[in-house]
Amino acid sequence: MRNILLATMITLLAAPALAQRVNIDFPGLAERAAEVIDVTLDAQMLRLASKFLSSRDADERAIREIVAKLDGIYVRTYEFDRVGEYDRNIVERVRTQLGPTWKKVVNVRSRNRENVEVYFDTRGDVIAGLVVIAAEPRELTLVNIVGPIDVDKLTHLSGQFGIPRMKIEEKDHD
Amino acid sequence: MDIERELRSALRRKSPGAGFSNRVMARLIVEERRPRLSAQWRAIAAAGLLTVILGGWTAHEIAERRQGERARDEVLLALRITSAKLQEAKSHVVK
Repeated sequence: MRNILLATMITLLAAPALAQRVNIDFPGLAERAAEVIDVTLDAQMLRLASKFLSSRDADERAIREIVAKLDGIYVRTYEFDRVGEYDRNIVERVRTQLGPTWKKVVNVRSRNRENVEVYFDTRGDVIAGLVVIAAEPRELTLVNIVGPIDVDKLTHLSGQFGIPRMKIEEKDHD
Repeated sequence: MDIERELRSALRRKSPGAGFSNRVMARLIVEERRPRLSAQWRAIAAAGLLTVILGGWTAHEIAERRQGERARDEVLLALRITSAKLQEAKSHVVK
């Protein structure tokens, strides 16, 4: 009985952490793309990368502090030779994975240019994950950052290292 | 009686022959040298083992450094891409 309770507790504790990870890999997409950027960094790789971020450089120090708390960074960028070479339903397939804790904070829609959607996985006051979907006619970028993201630190980082200065507000454009 | 004669013959004192003492001494020197050679070989073996351990450790350090630097570059690339997309979103929102 105690073991069952323990297993249930572990499952319940692990569930939120697992829920933050979003599948952004779609079979056949990379094969059709002319150029692919694939970054997969789990917690272990992030800890390793942190060791090699300079503590003297202010930008890298700030990035190290942010990265230290993260459980994963996953980025996929696909560039295609022709318009319409990727299935636009992929965007929807990413969206459908986002549960009720995910909130859309930015939604940019353009008929001919880029559509950008930014989602935060909010757990109380904590932002536990980030998803960015940027869909252009010939380019698709999917970003999933897993782990607690300190917005203050992100704001502090803004403007440095090419990272934009953002005022993050919760907006619902649906 | 033959047995008696044979025994006497067998137990008769014999001269060791010329160079016997030299041969014995030469053997003794060889025996003395053996442990010294063994110590040298042990030292060589220890040095070899140390070299292998240090070499392995260095190779591991180099591999880990390369992997770490690659991971760092990927973190920077991932954040650049993310920031670029956030910048684009922001530019639309600000408009």
